[in-house]
Amino acid sequence: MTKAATIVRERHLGTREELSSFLLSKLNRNLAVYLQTCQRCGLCADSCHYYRATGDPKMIPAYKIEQVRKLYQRQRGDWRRKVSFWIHRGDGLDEEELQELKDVVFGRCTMCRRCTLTCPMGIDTGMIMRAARGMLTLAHKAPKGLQDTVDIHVKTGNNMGMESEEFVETVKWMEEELQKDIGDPNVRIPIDKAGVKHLWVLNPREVKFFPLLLQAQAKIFHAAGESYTLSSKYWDVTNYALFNGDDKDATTIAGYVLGEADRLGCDTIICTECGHGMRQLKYMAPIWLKRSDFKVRAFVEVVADYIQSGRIKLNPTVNKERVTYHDPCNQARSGNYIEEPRIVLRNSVMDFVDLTPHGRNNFCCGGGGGALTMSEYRKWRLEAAKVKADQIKATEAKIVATSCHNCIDQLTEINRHYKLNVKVVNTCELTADAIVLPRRMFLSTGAPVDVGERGYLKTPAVWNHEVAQFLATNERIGELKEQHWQVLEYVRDYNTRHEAWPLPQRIDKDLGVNVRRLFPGSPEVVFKVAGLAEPGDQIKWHAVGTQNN
Amino acid sequence: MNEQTTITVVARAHIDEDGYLLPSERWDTNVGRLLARNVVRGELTEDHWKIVGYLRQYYLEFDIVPPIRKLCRDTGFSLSSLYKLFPMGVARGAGKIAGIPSTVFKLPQTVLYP
Repeated sequence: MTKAATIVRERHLGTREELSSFLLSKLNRNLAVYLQTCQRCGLCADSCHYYRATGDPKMIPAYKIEQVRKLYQRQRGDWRRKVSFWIHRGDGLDEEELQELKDVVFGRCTMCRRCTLTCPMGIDTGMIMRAARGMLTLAHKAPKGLQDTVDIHVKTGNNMGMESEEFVETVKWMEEELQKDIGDPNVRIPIDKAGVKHLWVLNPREVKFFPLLLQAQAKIFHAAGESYTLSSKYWDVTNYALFNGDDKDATTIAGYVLGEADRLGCDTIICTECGHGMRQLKYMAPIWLKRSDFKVRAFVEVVADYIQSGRIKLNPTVNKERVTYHDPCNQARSGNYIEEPRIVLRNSVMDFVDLTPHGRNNFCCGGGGGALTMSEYRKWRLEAAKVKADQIKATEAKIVATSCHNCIDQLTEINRHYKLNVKVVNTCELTADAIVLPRRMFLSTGAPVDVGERGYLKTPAVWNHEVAQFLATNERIGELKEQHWQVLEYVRDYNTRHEAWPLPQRIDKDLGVNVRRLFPGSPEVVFKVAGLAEPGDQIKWHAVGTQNN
Repeated sequence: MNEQTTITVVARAHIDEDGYLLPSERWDTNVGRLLARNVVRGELTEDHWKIVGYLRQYYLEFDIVPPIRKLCRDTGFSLSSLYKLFPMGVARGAGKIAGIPSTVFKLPQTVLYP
């Protein structure tokens, strides 16, 4: 990723005392227990993709943790608050040692926490690495690519330094393309719309290089009839300060998005398919910003919800090739979204296989922890990715879907480097291709026939035979025949007279038909096609054999 | 079986490791077809040639490639149809066939999707 210009931001260079107090401030109870408990049993070795790919014992997580542990000193049987090197050596860590530490915590660990799963003590390597990363960042030793990304984000509100104008233009362009794609000139991708439920946040990669992904996601939202908006000011959900360990910058960056949610009155934030973006907003932002009055949903979660509640209909036969799914570390292992992407994919494609291992135990692609911004570690990153390449080869899949942009970048590089000949896609692309859009019908006046979320006619007054046929096709009933019309007229008549719905048994008895066979599906279908208004909380059935009879 | 097959050399071109034409080479449609074979596609249709021609013209005039949106507007194709024509991306697909050297695509102001 080349940046056009490096924005220089004035940052304070930590003094020896400040670095020492930073490390101490990170030493909470969790960290103290982790540093003390590691017995160097070595069970973590086999779980780390760096070790498995290279066989180098310096890549074992226990060794990497030891490099950080050396910065602290244990005194008299319990973790007193002292930092060893700063005490015993006159001038603290020298350049060489800082460089070595940097190579370990930035270059040899993606903070994927697969070792945490294997460790019998559950030692959180990611947390330990982040503490050391924060110290190095304060000492101005963080990799330049990573620090630049954070600086650009803090200064401009998105990690590519894109102007708000360019962003709005790109969204408008995709809105036009979406209108052409669907054939409906009224489709909108709302920007800065106040009072809606969801705030949609993006990854700048989509806006700058892959705007078709915006179109795909907007298409899914449109098909589901979702109420959402974008923000023109702070629309970026990424937070690379998660990777460089700087809590102040992380707080600032997370605050941008939450500020927009407050401004536009949204209580739920839908994150595009970005692994660390979702995780930092859902799990870390409440800690940094000390507030938990907002909800965060990942895009795969939202789409799985739509599928299961029937809000969108999919036709998987458009995606015939074999697809496998790479679980992003931040979504599966650290975020618990394991079933949702599989629900989405199994409904969107014909041939889906899992990697081995998958889900919580999936291997990191190698691009985590901001690794893609660190050009100095490219060689190690691609070497360690051999594990992932072998996993993909074993499934013989033609398409690798994932739900994280950093993973997409890394998988694309792995694809080229190891000559896997697969296509790397986002899950939303596959879903958007498979979507079956609800049909629209327009009256002779030009007004559209509005069908609500659940399939009920919104304007019961316009009902006629044509509208009824349209509603029936929506409910996947074929052509309406004489018996259908009989039932529908009966139902409408009954509803007008008694202001309640006749029980299906009653219709069967009175007309001598089988309503369930004529209008298959849920019992509500016949009432939807009859154009009755959507019931409130309770359906008002007109009971057979009551006094009202 | 005993027929003699004549092979006519229509075009020769030197390419770099990624398949882009070297700047010193001359380009014509036969060279374009040759480069297209590298990009692994079937036949080049009229739509393909329209985009390739536009790109080549723009590059000869301005020494850079047009931003993707301008390309879409001026050629009348939507972004999704561009991706259907060149599934590897516009820069790698059309850019290669048009014989534009790879250095042009590495420029920071290039917003032609890879």
